[in-house]
Amino acid sequence: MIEGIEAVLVGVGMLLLLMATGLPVFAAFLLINLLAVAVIMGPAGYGMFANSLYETTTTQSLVTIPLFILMGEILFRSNSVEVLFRSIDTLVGRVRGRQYVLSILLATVFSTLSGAAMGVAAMLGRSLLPGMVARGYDARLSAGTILAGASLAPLIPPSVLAIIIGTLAGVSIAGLLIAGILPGLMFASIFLAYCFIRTWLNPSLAPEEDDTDARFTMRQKLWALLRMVPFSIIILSVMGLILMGIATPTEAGAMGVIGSLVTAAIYRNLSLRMIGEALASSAKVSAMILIIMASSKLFSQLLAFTGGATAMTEWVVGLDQSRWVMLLLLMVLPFLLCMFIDQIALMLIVIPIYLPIIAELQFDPIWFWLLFLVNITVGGMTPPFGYTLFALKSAWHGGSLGDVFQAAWPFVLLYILGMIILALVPGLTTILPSMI
Amino acid sequence: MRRTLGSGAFHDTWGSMPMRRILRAQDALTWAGFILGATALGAIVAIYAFEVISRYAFGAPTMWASDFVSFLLLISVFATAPWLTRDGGHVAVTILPDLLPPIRDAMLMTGYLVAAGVCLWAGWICLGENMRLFERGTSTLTTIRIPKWILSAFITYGFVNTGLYFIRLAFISTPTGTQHD
Repeated sequence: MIEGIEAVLVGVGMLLLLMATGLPVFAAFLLINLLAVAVIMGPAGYGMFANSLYETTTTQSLVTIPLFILMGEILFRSNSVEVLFRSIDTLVGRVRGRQYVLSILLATVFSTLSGAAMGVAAMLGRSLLPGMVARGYDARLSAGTILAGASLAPLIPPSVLAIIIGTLAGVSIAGLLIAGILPGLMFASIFLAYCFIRTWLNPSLAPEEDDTDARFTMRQKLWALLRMVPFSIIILSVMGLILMGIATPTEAGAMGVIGSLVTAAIYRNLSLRMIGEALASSAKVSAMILIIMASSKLFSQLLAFTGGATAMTEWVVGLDQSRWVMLLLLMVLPFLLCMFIDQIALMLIVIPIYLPIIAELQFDPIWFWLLFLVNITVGGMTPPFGYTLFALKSAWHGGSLGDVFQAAWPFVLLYILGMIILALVPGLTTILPSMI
Repeated sequence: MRRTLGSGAFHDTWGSMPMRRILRAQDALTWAGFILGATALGAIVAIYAFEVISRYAFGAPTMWASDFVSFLLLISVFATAPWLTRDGGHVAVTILPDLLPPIRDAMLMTGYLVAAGVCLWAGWICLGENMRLFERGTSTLTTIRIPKWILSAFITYGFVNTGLYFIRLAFISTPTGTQHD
């Protein structure tokens, strides 16, 4: 029987190879796990396999995933986001590079509501980007702001990826969700500052009189602000209930769905047809995610069974490097892998291997896993294979893939800068969770 | 890169009339499963909303809410999975097929067949487990106990029917319409 580090390398190597051939991710996990069980334990291990499927899909914390997805679906399908779009457009004042500000704010807010970077990138690439380019804004900087803002989706709550990490790593899901708020706002501020500096250094990046319709009256601005008030119902339903300790993340997710229904009703866009479509779409997306999780559950148990996880921990700790070097090493691997494979699949492979290492190195779990979350998110927008790039390209007919790549690089570097700040100032990630 | 597989729709042009009837019956069953899965999701929202209101507004938490919600999650996932396969909605990383255009379709077809084999294998194992649970009369380890085989039957259904759809994807649908998800 293969044991130790060899088992990890063979298992992970075969998984990556199978996935690269186009085999659905969940089937790749199933195949590896079933083969491993058959070889290592024989038919006696099949009960363990069946149980791992049952255990995963009846895990309480994972119920939050379909609920957050449903919340986003209702908001998007009820056109409530259009109200947000118009309101934010009205509220952004007349500043140089106004459309960059609008782009970052919209991408950030939509990311918060949808939780899916690719969806936001495609949506804004289709709706906002052509207008920005037509007004004389720099196409690459414009595309970059959309990519960067959209990539905040997994970071700012409600975040499906945070729930998956929390469940797999055994970290407080409420804590991990809350921990993303300050870093998310910090990243948005960094992107805004970058655009202002670029525009200040090179005024040709933004036209001087870019927006005649940006001259909104105070009355219009107040009305725009009022129209955004119903969204506070959702924020209160989700983050408020968790922060106040009234509801668990799962219950908060359900209340968030109710909040989004109320919001849709206030905007007079609530209908049975829309609810049905949102439920159907959410059921499919959730099934897609959860069947991967269920199929992969046994992988971590097999890692432990073959002694692979222990051997990896001993090997990594035996490198005897400083904490910062270890952190760098632990971050580089997922960053590179995330350019090639699905974020969820990556987490399911890496987290069980990392767990004992993190414990041995005594890293703060919330701090480490939040950095990990940012890291894999950035991997999704890093050329040449980050898939958020392809989502934007598919929506942006005027730009080449090369343009999208060049648009992404400055913001990838800004994300890395932000990660360094988060690593050096752990309080940014840990202060809010400590208040729960 | 990360993609969802399949053309997203079937055009069942192969096979004899009885075979087409069988395929249509499979589609009808799968559609019913999908509706059950979506309804289960709606029920999760309703149950949790009831639980939060019941607990904080009336000081009367329920004994059954969290148990039923986890049962419904399992039902939602495995009742929906075959329809997801039919729609080509599973995530796949198509790096090698994209790099090798001449054998791209052959690779994807092989992938569907492998996926079909592994799903049917998993389904077979789960069926054996269902029968063991039924014979032993095993119940769930929850506050509200129900026979466990009722839930694990959905897992079996999910994998077997998903496996059958992968066979259909391999032979019926030409996987030309891969799309970003």
